[in-house]
Amino acid sequence: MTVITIARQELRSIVRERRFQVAALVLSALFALSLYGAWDYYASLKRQHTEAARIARNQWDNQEPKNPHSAAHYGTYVFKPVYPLSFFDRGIDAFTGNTLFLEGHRMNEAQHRAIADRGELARLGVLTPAFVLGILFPLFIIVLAFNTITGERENGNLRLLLAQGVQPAALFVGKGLGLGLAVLSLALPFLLVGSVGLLLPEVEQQHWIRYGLMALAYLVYLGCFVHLALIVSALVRRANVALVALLGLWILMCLIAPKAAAEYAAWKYPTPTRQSYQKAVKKDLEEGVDGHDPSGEYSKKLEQETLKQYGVSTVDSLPFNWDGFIMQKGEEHETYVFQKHKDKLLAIYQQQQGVLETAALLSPYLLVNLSSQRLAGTDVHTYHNFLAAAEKYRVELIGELNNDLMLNFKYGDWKGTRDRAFFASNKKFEYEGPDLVQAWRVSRPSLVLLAGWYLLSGFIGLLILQRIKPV
Amino acid sequence: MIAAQHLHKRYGNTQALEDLNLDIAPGEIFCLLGQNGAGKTTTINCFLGFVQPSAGKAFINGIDVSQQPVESKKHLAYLPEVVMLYPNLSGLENLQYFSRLAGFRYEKGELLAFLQVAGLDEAAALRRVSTYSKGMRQKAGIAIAMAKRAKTLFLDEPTSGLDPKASNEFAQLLKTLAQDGVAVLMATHDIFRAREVATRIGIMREGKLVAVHQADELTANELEKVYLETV
Repeated sequence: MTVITIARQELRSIVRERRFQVAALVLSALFALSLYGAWDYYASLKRQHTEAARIARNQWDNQEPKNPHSAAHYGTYVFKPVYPLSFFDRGIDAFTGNTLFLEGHRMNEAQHRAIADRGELARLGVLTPAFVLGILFPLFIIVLAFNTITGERENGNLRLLLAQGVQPAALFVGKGLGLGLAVLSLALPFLLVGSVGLLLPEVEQQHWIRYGLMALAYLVYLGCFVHLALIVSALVRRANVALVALLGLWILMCLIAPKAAAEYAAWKYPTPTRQSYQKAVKKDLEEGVDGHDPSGEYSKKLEQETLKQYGVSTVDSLPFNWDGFIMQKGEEHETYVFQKHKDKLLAIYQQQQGVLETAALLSPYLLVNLSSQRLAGTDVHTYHNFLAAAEKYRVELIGELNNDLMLNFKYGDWKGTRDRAFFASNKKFEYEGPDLVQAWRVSRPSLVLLAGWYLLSGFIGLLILQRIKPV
Repeated sequence: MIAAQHLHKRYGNTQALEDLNLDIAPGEIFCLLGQNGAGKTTTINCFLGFVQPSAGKAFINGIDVSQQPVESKKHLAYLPEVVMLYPNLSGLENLQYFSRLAGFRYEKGELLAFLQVAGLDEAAALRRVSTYSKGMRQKAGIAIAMAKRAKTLFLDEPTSGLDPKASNEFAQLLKTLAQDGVAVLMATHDIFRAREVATRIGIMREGKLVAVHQADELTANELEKVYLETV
């Protein structure tokens, strides 16, 4: 009961204050601006990618008649899907290539990183709804809450409150609740309006659930800052010191921690340089069949084994086209090598993510940031899921072409061609992205840690407040 | 009703309170005189549980303050030297808030009556405290203390912001409360007001209660003389 009374009073007091009104107005204006920018970004990106994917497939379907293996060299493009929640949180989207060229013999890297087209300033962050909620909103909380306890102490009301028989812990819960309601009065409308991105046509239901979890994560995150503000306000005797301390914490947690954690992860688990990576791949490639070099060491060995297996003496006596067979064997070796090195790289990325999660214990911003990206589908996992799907498709498409060469063409017949009807019948790239279950599995650790942060900071706050003395 | 037994409080090398013994009966008003730093506020802080005594015990209505800090506060009301309250709320809202925290849910009429008795009329009661003078805030504080209907009352320089008329009204109010059986401990610099309102007057020096006089045995001038000789 006392808790409710304190909460109501706190809320009433905050809402009547000029600084709340001004700060809420500024924050709302920034949020509206971020929504406008997000809409612009999302709508145009979605249009571009849909259009580009259509053109790429059209080019494949309508290519000039050619030999199926020539078509493998002709290649095709696939594009990273644009998920509806990238509207809210762009995550690492700007830093990852969005276009992948698929061709025979090699696994390419994704091209066209959006960040490459932008100035250095873009690296500081873009005004997205996620930025407003994750970085700017805590500032709003700090402005509201820095003197919650110091103010009561400085004006002597703390003495009066405690003399009235209020349990100090009730003060923490009540004030936390009041501040929480003031925060909700702004954050809830933001989160409701922020869901406009989901109103676009063809948005799957799972994105609504993802957004619900994201919204919850942001609210818990803001709750962490309410706790932090109360703790600092209770520990520090003067309001101006509390303000400076909280701003310092904000700089550490929201601005420095993300960069420092990423730097540390990259230092602890370094990724190989591009040169050394390509050198290692090249070395491994040379130790296997090359479909374009039938007289090579490994090709000759494969030839001997195959002839023996089928009991024939020359490759043109084989029941299939040797060219197609060796081409596919070469492809399989190449795929194996690329995949092996890619897996090593992925393992390093995985370790780096682990470091980020551990470092996130120091900053709830890292946790909400990871959770938000993972739920929005703009995180590392979702990106690699796309790359893996694209690679799987590449292997199937090239396999389909080599198989056609092997079964339907004569040995040595490099002049034979396939026409549009064949290419149009080739497997299409149909990729939906990770489903809700996968997204939940990936985002669960950071969500659980975030909830832990909230509970632990609340518990510490209670302990500290319980010992507070007004003199 | 208000009792201290061998209360000591030490801050490092400073003895803020030394062997304080006190027993204030219901209906009694005990005024503590002394210079700044003599230990008056520390004494009150010990009874409020804001300061943990180094030795000795403080009792409110027989309850050991350090054993049952929250329970003991049910039996006391407190008026600090500076009452700031919440500037964004009206006097009425402040009174309602503090009363609710003490567990009282008064009707608006009752709240206005408390404020009226403390010297704030309805028009003033409905204004935000940010528009109040220091004296008006003090009056709102008096209303808050009265509304708690406690058996003991602790006052720390309560008349420091009041004009002579309000101070006089406050003295009358205190006497009325004492007649109703409230035990009052008041720290003050106002010798004349103390002489007028108190049952007993104690003089503190360097943490010690060095003299206690019956107020009606001395005139104000005599009291001032005694005070100056003692401190």
